[in-house]
Amino acid sequence: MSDTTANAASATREAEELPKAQSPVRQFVKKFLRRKTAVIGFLFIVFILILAVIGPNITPYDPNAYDYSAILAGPSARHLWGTDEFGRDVFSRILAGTQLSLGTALTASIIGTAAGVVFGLIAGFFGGIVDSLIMRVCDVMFAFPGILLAIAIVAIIGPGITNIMIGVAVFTVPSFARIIRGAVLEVRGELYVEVAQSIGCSSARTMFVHIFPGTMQALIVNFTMNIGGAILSASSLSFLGFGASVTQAEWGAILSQGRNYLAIAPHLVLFPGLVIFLTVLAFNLFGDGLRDTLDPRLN
Amino acid sequence: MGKYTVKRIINMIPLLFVISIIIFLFIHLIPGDPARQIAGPTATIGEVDEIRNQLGLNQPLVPQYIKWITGIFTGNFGVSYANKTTVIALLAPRLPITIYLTICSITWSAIMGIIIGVLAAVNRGRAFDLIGMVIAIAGISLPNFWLGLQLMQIFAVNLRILPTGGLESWKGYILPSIAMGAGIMCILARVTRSSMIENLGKDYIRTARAKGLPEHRVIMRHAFKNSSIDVITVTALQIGALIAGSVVVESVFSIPGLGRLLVDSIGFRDYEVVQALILFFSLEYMVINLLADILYGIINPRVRYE
Amino acid sequence: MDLENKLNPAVSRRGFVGAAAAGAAALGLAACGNTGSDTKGSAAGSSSSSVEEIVADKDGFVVKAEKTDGKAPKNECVIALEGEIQNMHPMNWSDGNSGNVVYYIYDSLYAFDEDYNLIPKAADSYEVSEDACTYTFHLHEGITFEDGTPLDADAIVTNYQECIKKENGWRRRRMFIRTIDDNTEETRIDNVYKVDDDPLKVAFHLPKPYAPFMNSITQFYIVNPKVVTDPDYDYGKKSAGSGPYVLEEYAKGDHCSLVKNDKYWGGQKDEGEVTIDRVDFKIIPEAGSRIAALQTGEATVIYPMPTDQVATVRSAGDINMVSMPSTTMRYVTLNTNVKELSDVRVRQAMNYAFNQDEYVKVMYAGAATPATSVLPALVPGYKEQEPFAYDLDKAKSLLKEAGYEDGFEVEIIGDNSTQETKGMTFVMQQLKKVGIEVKVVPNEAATNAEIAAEPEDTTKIQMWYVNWSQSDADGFMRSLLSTAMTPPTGYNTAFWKNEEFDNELQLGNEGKTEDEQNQHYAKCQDIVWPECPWLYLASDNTLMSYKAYLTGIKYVAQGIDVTHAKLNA
Repeated sequence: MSDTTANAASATREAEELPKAQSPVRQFVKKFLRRKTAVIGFLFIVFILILAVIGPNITPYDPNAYDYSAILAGPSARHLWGTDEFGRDVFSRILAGTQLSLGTALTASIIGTAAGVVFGLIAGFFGGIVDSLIMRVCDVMFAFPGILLAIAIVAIIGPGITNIMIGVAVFTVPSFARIIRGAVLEVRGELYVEVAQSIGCSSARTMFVHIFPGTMQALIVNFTMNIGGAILSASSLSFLGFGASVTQAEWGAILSQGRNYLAIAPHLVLFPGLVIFLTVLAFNLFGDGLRDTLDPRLN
Repeated sequence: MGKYTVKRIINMIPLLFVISIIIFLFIHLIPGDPARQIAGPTATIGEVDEIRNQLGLNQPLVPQYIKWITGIFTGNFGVSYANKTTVIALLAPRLPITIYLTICSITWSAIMGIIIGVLAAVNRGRAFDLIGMVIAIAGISLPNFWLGLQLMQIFAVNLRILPTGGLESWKGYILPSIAMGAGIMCILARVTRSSMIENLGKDYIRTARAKGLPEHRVIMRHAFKNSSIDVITVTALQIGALIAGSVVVESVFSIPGLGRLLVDSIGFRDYEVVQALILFFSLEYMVINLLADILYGIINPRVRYE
Repeated sequence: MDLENKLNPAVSRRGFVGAAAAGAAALGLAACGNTGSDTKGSAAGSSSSSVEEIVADKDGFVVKAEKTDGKAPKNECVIALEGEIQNMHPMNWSDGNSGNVVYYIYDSLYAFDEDYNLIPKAADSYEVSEDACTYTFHLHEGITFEDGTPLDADAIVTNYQECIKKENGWRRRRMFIRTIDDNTEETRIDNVYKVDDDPLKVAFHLPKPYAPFMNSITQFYIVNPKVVTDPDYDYGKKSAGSGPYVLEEYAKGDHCSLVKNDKYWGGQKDEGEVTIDRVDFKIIPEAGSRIAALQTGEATVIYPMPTDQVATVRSAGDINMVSMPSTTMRYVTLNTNVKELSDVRVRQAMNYAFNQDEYVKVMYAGAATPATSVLPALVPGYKEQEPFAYDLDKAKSLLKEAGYEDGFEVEIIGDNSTQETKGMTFVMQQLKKVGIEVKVVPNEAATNAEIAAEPEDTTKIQMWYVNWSQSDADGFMRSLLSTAMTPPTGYNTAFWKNEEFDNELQLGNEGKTEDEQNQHYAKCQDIVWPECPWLYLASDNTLMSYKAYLTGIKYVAQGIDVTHAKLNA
């Protein structure tokens, strides 16, 4: 797809169709806007990012205010999304928790992706000992259980969802590295890569200019899915007792708590689950749209 | 390729050594004392010390490590502190359960995931694609305890056709396999779709179509064959994770699997069980990844092995 | 750290009938709030809790099955438990569930029934000498182990000797050993011997009276003497007892199956017949799955019953649910060495600020009794104290007197399980009302065990959310409040030291009659209560549900007893 000839060809075509030359950014925006689902996804992400910033200030109730006379109450006019095991307003908690949940999930995914891409590219491109070494380190990290890591992080740098999530992010590196490496292995056999190398491109240039774009598909899809995974891993950490501090509202922790009251208060699982679902869906729709826009063959 | 495989297998040995050192240090250095766990809350400090002595935990870490690692070479993986049985005896009954459950989960989820992914890619942008995506995302964001308990409510409590837990008969495997595989199916559907879309846009597909090959042949023989590398990579990762166990699904369906064992053993600071389990998981990841790498080569001969 | 299941002492719980009085008392105290059984937020503008308050009738029943004519699928009782069954060793079991299973396989000389009375088991009777130092037991004639070896005086002597052997390091050893300090100990019994060369007469001689002796006897299980002398015997493979059931299969982490002992000696004559062919203890950790298994009949009994699913059980129609007081006390230790907490007025203020009734409601849906002493009401020797009735003004004025008008910051540790974290959060919410900012730090149980073992000068404990379960007043107060038992020796993590208390406790320990003992124990409670080394929380009930086709199930000191129950087949 990042075949330079194809790029050139499509650019020429665009130029012929449009008398006035447009900046690449405007072209990109224009193409992107054509994909409705992607735009919806994008708007939702913007919306949720705004909520992450202002969320804690606009909650209808103090997210930590308890009401023992309304424990695990179902959704009502007073409590739109019901209350939790202390009678705290679930809607307020989810709203207030947007910042923490989204922040940690994005941080974790970005760290994981960035490092994973670098290692995956190096491993896939150079092969040999470098490849073996990186991949074997990945194997080690895969086998290392997250709970043990969480205990160690708590012991070394203290508890807190941020610390733990960053630790977890480090451990998503191998999964990205493997996926990218797989994609590189595939792309590396392509003719254009061989051509690039034979005309004397440096390794770094070949890697980042010619091979890396070839792995974008795999990357975008896995990155967007990983955001959901990161939010949910907060939930499983919470299940194991290493979640957010009790004063912090956090989506995954709310979801995990809800498990204990599934029979009488399904709203405790339903609402955080729904919010996570929509967020992950939005990132995926956006990711798909982004990829399609970047793909010159699909215009 | 035979040579490559042998080389990879030989390479595993030093790596396992490194892992053994890392895990040994990790478990010994985190806070918590197995002797105190064994002695119980009413034990005196003298009794705790006595147990620590008996277990050799008062020695420096290096001799402790050497003792453990040499034990492994004689097939002695140590003893569980929690109940005095050998680690082998503890793992032996759980391993087949976990492997069987993994096979069941991965089989159905891979088949379904690939089918959905391929169909979504072929019908790209149409309703099926969007529905497939929504289902896949739902599957990823659906907590598996929720799915597990809902399935149990429907099939065990209401319809009474499947058991609520236990693995006495084949029926017991159905619900846990569904709960474990659902997330994987969704991930695979996404990966397959994305990879297929990429490959379907390539020149050789146009060539194949131009040659007048029937569409299903173009899709399966050409596009899917090339997508399978991505699918294999992700599947291998998921199999690895499945064998390491899912604490949540194991708890919901009361399955004595490796995930619960690991969590319990870490909680008890049952050092030798934790060490053996992690060593086993590492080996298992390496073997599965080796198999995946070999498969890459079979499917796409252009992949070079060095 | 949840000490409850790791503790050996007889966990005493009264039977369903016995539960009535205490249950009613709990209700009287907890009758505030408006928790209805409405499961949906009803009218707009108002919302109500969807948690149904657990209310037991005079017999301990929360739900009484309407359909009682159901048939058991097999003559087999499946008991679904939440926690692990750690091991099958009759003298080294660690957790309550293991103790429950062991009870089916091995006989003790005496046992506690559901009303906490001593009842004869392998012994027909016993007598105590005038000086309260010699206990003579008359063994039942004709008791044999599985291989035909007789259970006689010699067997008891051998069992005792093995039990206290230091090399064995068995947990039950502690019943007969007194720790003086880290390196010194003495046995509480100096001789166990066959009397008059009569194989059915065995005596235990004590150097000085020891109040909890018979309590220890109920947990002294008698093992085949040929087996007990083998330190490597695997009790998880084959049992070696004389009880009504024998071990069929023990699969750690999954289940433990027992089958009727063909060679059982029959038990004491008023016990009735053993009718159930097979008893299967099954581990089902997830509360929702336990309930589901009970609904389908895959489980006959579930313990514990989750507090929030009364409605599920009620709508099933063929399930009984019972709620009984327990010997578990929940409390928060207040380290009296911490500057702010060293002032008794501050500790009292915290107790005044803490609303016990709301704690019972929020944490246990009403199935608990607010603490009215350091001991749970069920423990013999308990003496009711004047409660620190919820009074914010009083709390605030006490804090002002102490110079903490604006409150202070303090840290609370506890286990990182859902329930414990919830409890700590509740404590935080309560103390915030008087300006005390509590930082909640949930730790892994193993980490807490290590923190709790730190001695006075290095301890990091400020407040510890914890619980203790024990059926004798002496052991209960000694382990948690005596000077000798400050860490690392014991669990006095409040580091509260009071000479008068220690003396009274020792006098009670050496008291010759129960009355004498209890007088001293009452004094102990009078001394400690106003001193507030703890934030007093509550004693929670034992909740259990079972199919109505099972009759005659009892909840005794050792746990669930279906040895003489019947299944309607």
